Amino acid sequence: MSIVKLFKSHNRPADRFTQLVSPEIEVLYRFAYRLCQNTDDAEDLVQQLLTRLFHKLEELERIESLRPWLMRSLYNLYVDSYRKQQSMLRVISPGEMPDNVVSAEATPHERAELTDRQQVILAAMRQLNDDQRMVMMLHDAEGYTLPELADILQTPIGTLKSRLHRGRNQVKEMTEKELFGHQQRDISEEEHI
Amino acid sequence: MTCENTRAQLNDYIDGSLTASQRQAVSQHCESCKSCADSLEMLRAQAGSLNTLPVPPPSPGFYQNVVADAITSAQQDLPKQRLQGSFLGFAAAAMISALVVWLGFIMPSQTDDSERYVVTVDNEVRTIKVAIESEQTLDSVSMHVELSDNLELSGFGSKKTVNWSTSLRQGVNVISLPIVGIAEGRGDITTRVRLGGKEKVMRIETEYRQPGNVLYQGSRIMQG
Repeated sequence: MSIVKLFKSHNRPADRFTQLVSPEIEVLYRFAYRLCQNTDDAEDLVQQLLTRLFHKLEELERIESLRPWLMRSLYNLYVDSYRKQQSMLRVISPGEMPDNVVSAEATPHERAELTDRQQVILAAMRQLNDDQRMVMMLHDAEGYTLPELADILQTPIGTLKSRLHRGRNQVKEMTEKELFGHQQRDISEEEHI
Repeated sequence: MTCENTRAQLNDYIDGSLTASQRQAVSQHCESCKSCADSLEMLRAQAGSLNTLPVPPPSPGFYQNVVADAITSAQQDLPKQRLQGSFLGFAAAAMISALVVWLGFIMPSQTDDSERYVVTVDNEVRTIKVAIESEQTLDSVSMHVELSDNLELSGFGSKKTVNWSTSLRQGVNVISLPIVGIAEGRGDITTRVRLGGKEKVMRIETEYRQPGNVLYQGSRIMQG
């Protein structure tokens, strides 16, 4: 056993855990924000993950590439727990299952940081299904490659690519109407004349 | 190359995943086709907007404290989790009692309004259903649920406020709130429905009692 490992093994679990996960917190928060789309839930998700992982410290210390493993765990927690919790609180009509998934709304402060185009794009993205929105967020906004996402989300690259392209095309169609609808109407009216 | 073939490759084009010859074919087509060129530009601008989409910073002190908070929570929660696991199983087996509260109409022109109801809670999950009747379909309604310190929303841990947005359908819509009393005494559940600048507030007062006892039985509260 190396001196470093020997030293670590004598540290308190809390210190070892802190040393291990602290460098990953900012990345985890960004990832959580992209999933949850609001700061409160993103913070809660990260804390929930860390709370669960603390008792798995020994396992964590054996993982060679910790970041993708943590992100996969965060994603699984979001899917297994958070999304289920959110669905408990969606508004439903009696005797009727809803087909829309409720998403949390950005606060006015958060919206103020966005350009007009970004606000229109985000509004359109809320119309996408969860899988399409997630892959667009993580690929186009956060810059993960499809192979990285395939590893994190445990989904084939072809499936992710299909979701990404469909999502982008749908958002493009919706935002074209929103951003250029008036111009297009004007042009079509001129052509008609 | 046709417009249909070109458009099918625009996403791969902006991602740089086409071969050199495919890339050249798309470029050449877009030079002579304004419609496809516009589509390409729109997709590029969209990706560019997302690429610069900011992530709001977390609340002050989050980065510094979250690990320590999680450790504290993990150390405190270990015995509690075991307890919850056992009583949740019991609650599921014992059937969950539900209380239905009618919130009334939500209309764009409605001003702030408060009403108060009393329900019992205990240390098992009790589903309180809040029914909202809407005169019309309403998009982007903001829902806010706030709990007093002696209540918990099952599955949400110690979180005391939950916010989300949804649309309301014309007619009756129902929210199910799985409430657990974690300490004796009176508590409060405040549900706010916001639309534009208007707000409808529902305050439900809770009394910690043994299961099965309904503290207040009025025309607006029914056992489900």
